[in-house]
Amino acid sequence: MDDLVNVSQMRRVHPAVQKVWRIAGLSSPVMFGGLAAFMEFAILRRIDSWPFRFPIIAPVVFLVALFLTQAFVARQYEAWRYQLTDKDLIIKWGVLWRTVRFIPREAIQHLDINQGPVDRRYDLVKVVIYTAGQIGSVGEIPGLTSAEAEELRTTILGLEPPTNSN
Amino acid sequence: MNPQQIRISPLSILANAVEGLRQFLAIGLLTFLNLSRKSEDPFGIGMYVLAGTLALSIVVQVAAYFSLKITLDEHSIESYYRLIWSNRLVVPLERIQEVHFTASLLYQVFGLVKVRVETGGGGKDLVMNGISKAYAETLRDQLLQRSGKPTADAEPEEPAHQEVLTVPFRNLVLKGSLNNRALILIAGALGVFAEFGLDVIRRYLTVIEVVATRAGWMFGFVLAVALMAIGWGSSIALTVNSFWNFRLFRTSKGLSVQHGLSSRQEKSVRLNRVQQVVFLQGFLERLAKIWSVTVVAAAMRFGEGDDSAGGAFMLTPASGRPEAFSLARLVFPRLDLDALPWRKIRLVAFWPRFVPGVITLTIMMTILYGVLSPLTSLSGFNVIRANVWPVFAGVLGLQALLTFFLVRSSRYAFDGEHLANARFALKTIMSVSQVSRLQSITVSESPLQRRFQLRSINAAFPQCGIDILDADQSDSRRLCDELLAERHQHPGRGV
Repeated sequence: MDDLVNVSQMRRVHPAVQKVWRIAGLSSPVMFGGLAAFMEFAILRRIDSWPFRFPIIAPVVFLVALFLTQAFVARQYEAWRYQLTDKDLIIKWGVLWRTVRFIPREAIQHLDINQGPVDRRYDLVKVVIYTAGQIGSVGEIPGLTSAEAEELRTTILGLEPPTNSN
Repeated sequence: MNPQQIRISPLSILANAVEGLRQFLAIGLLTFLNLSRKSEDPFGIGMYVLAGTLALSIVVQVAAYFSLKITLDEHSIESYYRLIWSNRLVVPLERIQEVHFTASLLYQVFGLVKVRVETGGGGKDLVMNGISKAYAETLRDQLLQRSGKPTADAEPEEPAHQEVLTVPFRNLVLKGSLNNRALILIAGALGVFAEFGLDVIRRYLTVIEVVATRAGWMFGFVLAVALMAIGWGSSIALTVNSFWNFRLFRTSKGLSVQHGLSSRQEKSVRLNRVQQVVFLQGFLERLAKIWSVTVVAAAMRFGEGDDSAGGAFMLTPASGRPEAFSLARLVFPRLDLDALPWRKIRLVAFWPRFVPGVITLTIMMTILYGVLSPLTSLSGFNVIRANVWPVFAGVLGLQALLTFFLVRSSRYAFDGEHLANARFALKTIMSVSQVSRLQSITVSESPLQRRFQLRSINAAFPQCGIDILDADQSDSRRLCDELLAERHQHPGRGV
């Protein structure tokens, strides 16, 4: 993806976002572990030849999912970049599946600045970008400070040139 | 200006009551037949049920008629009703985008139309059920005039309604005949048999058995042909009914279509709201050389239009290639479909598409074979258990074949102004959008795509998009730069 964008000129998100992602990442292992526990319970009840009399699949699924979600946080942070040029907002993310999104500044209808309870703990916000005729948002930039988000919003909606691209 | 009360015709009470009853027709009939079967006085009880439902429907419509008030003043049109819930809907006149008419068969009998005032906000539109046709036309002119939108009188230099295309009856019959509904009929027949229990089935089976014994294999053949014929007949009838007298007009600022036999539709779309034009030709339609053309317009409500897709507006259900392709120029005047520089997808794109399919299939088979089949005694699972490898290989082979054809038939093109993608497989689908309306470009690559130097590009437009899967890496960069450069030449939101 480096041929599409100049990564060295792109901004990183705040390092504290890694803590937010680690906490938010706990929901997936719980969900997958719960699903596995349900299936395992069904198997334990119906199959007499099942070798284990105690849950084994659910804890394994939980631990693997926990490891995967936590292990990728640092690399995910490393991959997350954004850049506001004079014509486009560019967002880049993804570790295994990598994505770059170009949003022409002219196309942006409005921006939301959101802050969840975990974000609030680390004084971070998330900027959500909307364009016309799309269901839901077209993209979001997590892990920004309130000042950074406000600057982004003013610059984009005021259609002023960015003060500092780095 | 004093607020003007909009007159809903009293005839709408009866029309809406019967229309409302139609929704319960299937349930009502089944209830009627069920009661008739069980009761000693079947006719009486069934009739009471139907008459009671109609009476209830009329009471509801009378209450709705008297509780609804629609007023028009110089700034807005407002509807207010208070029945069990109250609802007030105010549409500022300058927000009005279009005014559509619809008339079902019953409405046509009473000379009424349903008027939909479309705001384009994606929210709730104002709908007036049961206005006399002449009054509705006056009202439409008033609304469009006050909203600042051009009416027939506003721009006399262009004809208000210039007919562009009509779909001949022959094409409708052809299109209907390509969609055989025999399977639906068989499923329906089975459903009815199931509803009436084994007695009826046994009675008919005896008849069938007697006939089949005498007629031998001929009986099966004749039965199959009869079902196919009924399927064909019904799909031709449905298509003709839906698109009867299909006429496309060029209006002062857009396009308008009229069609339908039992329910007459009249819809219009402004050309500057059209985001995409889609050409579709099924396998059998290719043999018959007919195309259907649909446009996607921004801010049209989901579920409206002739297609099931959101924001879709059909320009023709069945026309020959020259007529269908000429419609593209109505929407995008500088588009030359025959001169589009189509580019193929490299065959190596087979792998990034096939391998995830294999993984999904393996997981599904593991769940079926290893987890679900021990838990159930269903015979279908036993078949899978006994033939797991042939089933797996067969599905895998089919997946490989389909993936190969999909890759082989995928194309994309950019002529400096329009972006298009197409799939010329069993079904041909070709979508074209104007890049000046572009909202965002997303370039993504999976690990496998990275391995084969491929990327996927999604160009998002209002309410639609163009996907280019597995384009070459170098080409994706060039395309991305060109698309953004073209978009930057057109300031504005693109809607």
